Amino acid sequence: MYPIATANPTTGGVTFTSIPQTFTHLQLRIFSRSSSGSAGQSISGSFNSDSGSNYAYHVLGGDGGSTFSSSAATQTNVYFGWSAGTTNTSNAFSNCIVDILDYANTNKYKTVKTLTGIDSNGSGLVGMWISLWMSTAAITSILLNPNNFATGSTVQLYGIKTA
Amino acid sequence: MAILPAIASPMHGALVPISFINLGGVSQVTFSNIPQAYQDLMIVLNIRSTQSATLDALDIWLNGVTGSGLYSSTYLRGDGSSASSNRYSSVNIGYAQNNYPAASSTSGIFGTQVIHLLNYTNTTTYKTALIRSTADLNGSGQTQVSVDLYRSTSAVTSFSLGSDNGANFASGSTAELFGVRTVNQ
Repeated sequence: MYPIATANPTTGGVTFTSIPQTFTHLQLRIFSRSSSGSAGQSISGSFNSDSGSNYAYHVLGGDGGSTFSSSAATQTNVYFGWSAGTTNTSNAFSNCIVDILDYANTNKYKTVKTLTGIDSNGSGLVGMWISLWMSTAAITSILLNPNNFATGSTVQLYGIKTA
Repeated sequence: MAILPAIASPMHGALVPISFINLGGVSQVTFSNIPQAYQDLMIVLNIRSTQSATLDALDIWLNGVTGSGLYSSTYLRGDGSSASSNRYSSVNIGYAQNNYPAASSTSGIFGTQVIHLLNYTNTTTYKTALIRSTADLNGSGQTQVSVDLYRSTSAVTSFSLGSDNGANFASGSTAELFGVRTVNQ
């Protein structure tokens, strides 16, 4: 695993562009709080600026009291897990570990696997997301936005090499 | 426990090994003097307990703090037949029932746990740990993802883990601490 880029957003979203095509997989490590969204704000985004209805997702989660699962097709965003929001405990941030496999392959749709959680001392969300981008294009840019990142958020992009 | 000198270099990539500990015969261990040179920490555990039960639970705590109710957690678990979720609020230790095999389970079975602690040197945010744990006991078991919050803005300089029941880890149990460096680190 090799570091590619780092971002310390204080507002808006984060876009990684000109992503090197020399790795096998990508990993995003996100420490997130939204300055506009409420607790459990999802982190949405896009690949290659594609805003068409080309995304789908499944999510499996727990909120500390019950479990849930949901899914949707023909979405206009990819999802990277949950962010802390304005109604979460001050200074609490979520963790998201996002794996994007075979991102440079031009024969496959792209699948995104996320492990994510936010605890706010009395409330919380934890679980797994999988998102599908129905495009065979190599991923050259990634946009992420939890309805405006708050100060203290960090987003790291890594490349993972194979033998 | 001493921390081995670890200098980030291109040879290491982003994942820099900091320390490795054989846990057999002890009930808890602390990685202390953690270098403040990385973006994140990752702890990889392969563990089994000597407790007389099928499962034991892991406790974690940061900077030696085990009081004041500064920890909370939320977890999602599957046990092979159903899923459940629960939480602990204002508790004195990081406890999310991340269970691992104990003495009454089939010998030779160890559980794996991977703990991600992001932005651990930051002094303006609380600390969040994301934990993926598994304990398959060949016919029973659990798989779980949990999130722990430590309500302190202090940088994390030590990381401790131990049996919630005070039992020793079984021989063969291991703990590895890695630093995850980002660009310019």
